[in-house]
Amino acid sequence: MNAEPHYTRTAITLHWLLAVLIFGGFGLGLYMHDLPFSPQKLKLYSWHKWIGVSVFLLVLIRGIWRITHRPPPLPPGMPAWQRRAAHISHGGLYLLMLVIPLSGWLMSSASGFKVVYFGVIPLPDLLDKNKAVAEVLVEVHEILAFTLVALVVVHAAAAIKHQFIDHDGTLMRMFRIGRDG
Amino acid sequence: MRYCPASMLYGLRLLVLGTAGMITLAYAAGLWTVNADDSEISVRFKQMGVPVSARFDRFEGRIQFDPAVPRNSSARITVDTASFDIGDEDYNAEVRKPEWLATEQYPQASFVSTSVSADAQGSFIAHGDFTLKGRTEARDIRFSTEADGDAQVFEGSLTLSRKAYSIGDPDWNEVLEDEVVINFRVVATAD
Repeated sequence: MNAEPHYTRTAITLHWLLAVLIFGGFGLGLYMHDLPFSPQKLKLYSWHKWIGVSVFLLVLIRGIWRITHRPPPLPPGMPAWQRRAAHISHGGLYLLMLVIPLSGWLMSSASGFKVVYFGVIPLPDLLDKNKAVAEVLVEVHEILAFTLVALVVVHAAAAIKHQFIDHDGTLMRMFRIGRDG
Repeated sequence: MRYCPASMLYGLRLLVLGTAGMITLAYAAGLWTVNADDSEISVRFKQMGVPVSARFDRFEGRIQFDPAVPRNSSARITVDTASFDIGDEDYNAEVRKPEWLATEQYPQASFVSTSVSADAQGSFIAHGDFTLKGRTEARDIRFSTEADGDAQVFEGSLTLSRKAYSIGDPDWNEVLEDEVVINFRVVATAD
C-alpha cells in the first residue's frame, strides 16, 4: 500500500484546513447575514473576514506547494472526460478560493468597513466607500460562495464515488501521509 | 504753514472715514457664521481594531476670532446629534437610542468657549464648556486656523471617552473601543 502515490503531509494539512475554513466561513456567512444588528453580528463579521483572509493566504501557499511538489497522478484507467473534469474542477476550486475572499475584501472597502486581520493587521482599502458598488459586490460574493459550495459538493462526491464504487483509493490519498511529506 | 480750512476739513474727514473703515474691517474680519455645507465634523472610533468613521450632517455655529488678540475670540458650535451618519441605517438607528446619544432626550451637543489662548506652536486653544448627552464639562480644544479666500477655516480635534459620557450599551464594549475622536474642519464666512 505504501507504494501508492500520496499527497505530502503539507498538502493534506492544507487541504483539510481549507475544507474546515471554507465550511466554517460559509456557514458563518449564511448565519450572520440574517442576524439582527448587534455587537454579536459585528463580531461574527470580523471573524468571517479573518477566515476569508486566511483562506486566501493558505491557497497561495497551497499554490506554491503544488508547483514545487507534484501531486500524485490520477488513478490509472480513468476515462478522459473524468480527467478533464477533475482538472477543471480543481482549477475552479483554486480560482474561487482566491476570488471569493477578494470579493469580500472589495465589498468591505466599498462598505467603508476596513478589513483588519485578527483586529491587528489593517489591509489597505481597495475601493472608495460607495453604497451602490457595495450592494453589487454583496451579490457577487454570495453567488460566488454558493458556486464554490456546489463545486465542493461535486468534488467530494467524485472522491467518494472513486473510493467506494471504483475502489481506486482516490479519497484515501487525502488521508494517508506519504513518506516524502 | 498756511491756514487752509479746506485742507483741514479734508484731513478731518479722512480721519473719520479711516477710523470707521478700520472698525468695519476689524468687525468683518472677526465675526463669522459656520457654513455647514463646506464644513465637516467627523467621528472616528475603532471596532475590533477596525477604524470606522462617521459624521454629523447638521450643525451650526458662530465664531469670533482675532488671531492678534486671541482672548477676544469666542465660538459657539451646536451639533444636531440625530444627524450622526455612518453610512449604514442600522448603525445610525442604534446610535440614536437612549443607551448611546439619546438623540430624542438630548438633541444637541455643543461647545461654548469661555476663552481662547495661543500656544507656542502657532495654534490656538479654545477653553470652554463641552456638552454631550446632557453632561457639561470644561474642555480645551486645540485648533489651527487659516484664511481661505473670504472664509476662515478652523481645524482641530477632540478626544472623548464614551464611558465618561455614558455613551454605549455595555454589551458593545467587547467590540467597540472606548476612545472616540471628533475631528472638525469648520469653514466660516464673514457676516
